[in-house]
Amino acid sequence: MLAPWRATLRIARRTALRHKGRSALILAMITLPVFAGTALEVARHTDTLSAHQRQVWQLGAADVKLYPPTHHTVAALRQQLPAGSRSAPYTTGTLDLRTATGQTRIDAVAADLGDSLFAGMYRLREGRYPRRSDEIAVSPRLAAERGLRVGGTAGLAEPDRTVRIVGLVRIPGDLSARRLLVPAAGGIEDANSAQSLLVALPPTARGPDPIQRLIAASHASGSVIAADTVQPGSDGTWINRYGVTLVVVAFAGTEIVLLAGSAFAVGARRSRRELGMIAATGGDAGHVGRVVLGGGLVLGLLGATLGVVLGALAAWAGRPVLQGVAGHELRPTVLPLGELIGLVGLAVLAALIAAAVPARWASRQPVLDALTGRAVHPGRSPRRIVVIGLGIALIGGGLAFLGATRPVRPELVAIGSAVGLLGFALCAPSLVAAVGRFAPVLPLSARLALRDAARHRNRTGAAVAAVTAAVAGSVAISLYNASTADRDSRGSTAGPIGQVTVASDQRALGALRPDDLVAMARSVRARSAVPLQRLDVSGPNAPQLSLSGVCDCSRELAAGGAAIIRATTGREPPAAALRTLAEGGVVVFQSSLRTGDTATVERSTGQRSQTVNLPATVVASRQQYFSMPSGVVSAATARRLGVVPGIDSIVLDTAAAPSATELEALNRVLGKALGSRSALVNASVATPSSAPATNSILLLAGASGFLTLAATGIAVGLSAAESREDMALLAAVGAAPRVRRVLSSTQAGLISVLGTVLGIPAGVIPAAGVIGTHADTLRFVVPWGPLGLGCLVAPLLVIVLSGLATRGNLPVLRRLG
Amino acid sequence: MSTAEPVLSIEHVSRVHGSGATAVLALDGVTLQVRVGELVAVMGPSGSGKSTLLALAGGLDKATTGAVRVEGVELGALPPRPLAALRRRRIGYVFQDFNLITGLTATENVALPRELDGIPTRQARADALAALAEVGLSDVADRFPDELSGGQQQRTAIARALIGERRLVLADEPTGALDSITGESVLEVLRGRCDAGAAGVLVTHEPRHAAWADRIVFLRDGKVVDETGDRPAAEALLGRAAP
Repeated sequence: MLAPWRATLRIARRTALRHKGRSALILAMITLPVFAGTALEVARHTDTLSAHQRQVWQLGAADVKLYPPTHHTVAALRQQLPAGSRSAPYTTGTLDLRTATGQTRIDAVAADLGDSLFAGMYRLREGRYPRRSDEIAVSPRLAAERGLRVGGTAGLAEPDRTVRIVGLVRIPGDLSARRLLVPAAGGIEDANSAQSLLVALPPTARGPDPIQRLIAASHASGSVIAADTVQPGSDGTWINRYGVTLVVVAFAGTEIVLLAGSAFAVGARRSRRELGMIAATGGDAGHVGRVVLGGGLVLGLLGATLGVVLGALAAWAGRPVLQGVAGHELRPTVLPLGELIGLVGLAVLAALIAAAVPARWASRQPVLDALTGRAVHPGRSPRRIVVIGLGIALIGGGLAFLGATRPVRPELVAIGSAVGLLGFALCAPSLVAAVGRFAPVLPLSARLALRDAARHRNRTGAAVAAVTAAVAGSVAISLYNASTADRDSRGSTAGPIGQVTVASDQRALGALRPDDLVAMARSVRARSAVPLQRLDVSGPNAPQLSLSGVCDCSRELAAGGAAIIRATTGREPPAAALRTLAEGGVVVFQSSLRTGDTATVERSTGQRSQTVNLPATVVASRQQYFSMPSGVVSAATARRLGVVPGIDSIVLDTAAAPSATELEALNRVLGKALGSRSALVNASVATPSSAPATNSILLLAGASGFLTLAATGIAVGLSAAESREDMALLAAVGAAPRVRRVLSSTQAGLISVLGTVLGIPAGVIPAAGVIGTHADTLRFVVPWGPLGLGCLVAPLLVIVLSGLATRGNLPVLRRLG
Repeated sequence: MSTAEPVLSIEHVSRVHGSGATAVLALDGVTLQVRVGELVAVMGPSGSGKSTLLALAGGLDKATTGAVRVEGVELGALPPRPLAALRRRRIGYVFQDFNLITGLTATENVALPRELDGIPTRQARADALAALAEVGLSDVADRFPDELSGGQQQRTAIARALIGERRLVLADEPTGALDSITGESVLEVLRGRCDAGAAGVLVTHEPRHAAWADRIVFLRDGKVVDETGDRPAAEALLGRAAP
């Protein structure tokens, strides 16, 4: 019984070809998400590392990396290896690179990279590996940034010396690495360097793993040998927002069904007569419906195939970009056939679902009415449809709420979002009919528009549903974006943005002279260089002071005065605060730390602690900084409480974030001031904790806006086509040409306003659900301004564009009987 | 005239469109029978119920009261699917404005009822080509409707109405959009089919076209107001000699 299917598919295929514009729109709605999904999946698979690859990047050709026990040498460890083992020393640390404006600390490796044990871990791109102590190799990223080249020289600091650059070495597992590479004997001597040994076992090694036995024996002896194991990779590497992705996919899929469904509904209406011919010829309801469904199948298959091909091509062509994002070499492009076939299947299913309702409508059309073009006006819209729709929306909201509560289930949020959207969309035709009752009180054009919309409420309702979906997407994105922005603004950062903290051991910092502090401040244009004397870092048995109270802050206490207050809060300390310090009280930076007029300070020594209430003044800081104290007392008060303050770090109170060259100059000053590299110097700059993904959100918002316009355009265009006879009659009785424009604008306004009204609550559900799944970091924030603007601007834009796009002159037609 | 069971039997059929204050009585107690080999013409002024009568006979519409039977099967009692099956197997319908599917060729249009009936495509197309040959359109079989003249389109529609073993052919003003010569050729085909064993109903405004029929039924305001008994009498009524 293939013949009926072949006949109906043939008609569907040729109808799609005849109406290229509408078919192109539906194709775009299906192709774009499949394209994006394919590109992401191919990129993800290409980026996924095999266990072997991971091992090569971490260990080269070695079997294991061993670290000698504390105070033992690599050479001694070598003596304990099984006979026949090959090994190579491998040291990681840092070197100070001199620059035009100062110096900067760079990660470094000391190893004889020409040894075959390092094969795969490092790859020589140009020149050779360094062999002598006055030779180095550099990574390509560092070379590009610093203008270094093979054959040139570089200056190292602490001690100052000049070395020759003999090679450019690529690190396959970290393409963005800035690395200096020296021979094993090159000498990386700083407090944080780590010596290890790459070991390859002899081929003849048998029995229980000899390395495990060696490590076990070291545990027994108390001099522990540590080993590096290859870390298993996590699935989905840099794409790890599974919950959000699922909700986006489910919501976007529902949007596509509604939008494409609107286009299929238009197609079914336009083809009503032709479908009537099929019925008159002897086609039953199934045959007629199959023609419309066939359109979904044809366009779904074509769109999905196109999307997969283009997506795979984009992923292949975008390898350099992907490699840059991933930060490591990629395996050859992988096409995950199973997933791609699944994507095609989902897209075809979405297209079929989109065509299902129009197919059912078409199959139920009375044959004679379809042939004669007699309009079929539905009766009064049953109120129960609205009740059902709202009920479904409520169920969707409930599911999303359940999914957002512990234990979190993103799949419930996804299902709830889609169900909620469908529920609201279901209310659209009844809402249109309800608004149509206001037609009699309106002027002519608006009255015609509202009556036309209400009498064809299913057609108008489909367009409203499509706009609902688009607006819901925009609302969801806006709410989520506002929530993440709120998190970022609340989030703890190290200090005021751009502030520089220099940390080192107390002895080194304590040795800094006033001139050194001035030079440090000048190098980064800081207002001052403030030694930060914390009162909880003296040692395990020394008394320490900290603040007690309810506060989402560090509770650390420091000794100091106006400079610390200024550095933490960014404002001049009021006289009351300085008076409090002078009188033996405490200045706190969070109001929750003060109760009445006092704050509680805890003095602890080992396991024992006691509290004391001190008079307190609050000087509120803009937000909580985890590297800054939460309060300050005078040095005299600290000593009175039995704690000797020690300099923990130097805070450079900057007016603006320092540039890279200024930081290099600071490092140079520090190096000169602190002398030996045995002290760890760490100049860090406070930066925002994370940046919102503005690009992807803007893209989604733009797509949502485009879809809103497209959906409205489809409905208004269809209405215009169907009202040509009425327009001709208006022309015949002398109506002004602008009547058509006003009518078109009114229709567009009605569709977009109703769509916005339904779209707002529909968009709240997924946003609230996703935010709920991240309740530990996100909270629900409503961006009233941008949301209100968006809800106003979109309908206004649609009204204006619709009016502009409509021809003013009325058609003069022979009125068809 | 054949004395066999009528192919089409319309018994006291009424059709009301709408309800309440807007109700319109399109047909009022019409009775009509058409036998094998008969071509019956239905005439009357606009709004007399001619097209409604034909639509009821073809199963495109449902009578409000009364019974419509095709080959003894009451159409009003049939569920939609069997009714559609009857339409594509036993009833051929020719419309005034051809009603060909623009995306299908002439052959495909004619083959459509057969394909929808499950006949393999190759067989259906062979049958379609034979039907097109019968109406003299073999050389335009692969053209699309917009590539055919009005007469060719109407003859394609007739071929579609005649394909298979159709026992009842219904034609609603089939010559309305054609010139006189083309119109005559279309009626010739219809007449030939009835002579070959089908039963036909022809709705027409034109007396000279009605002259092709064996009987003429006159409708006014939904009622049969007059009826001629045989072809010579019909010709006499119309003031023409028989062809």
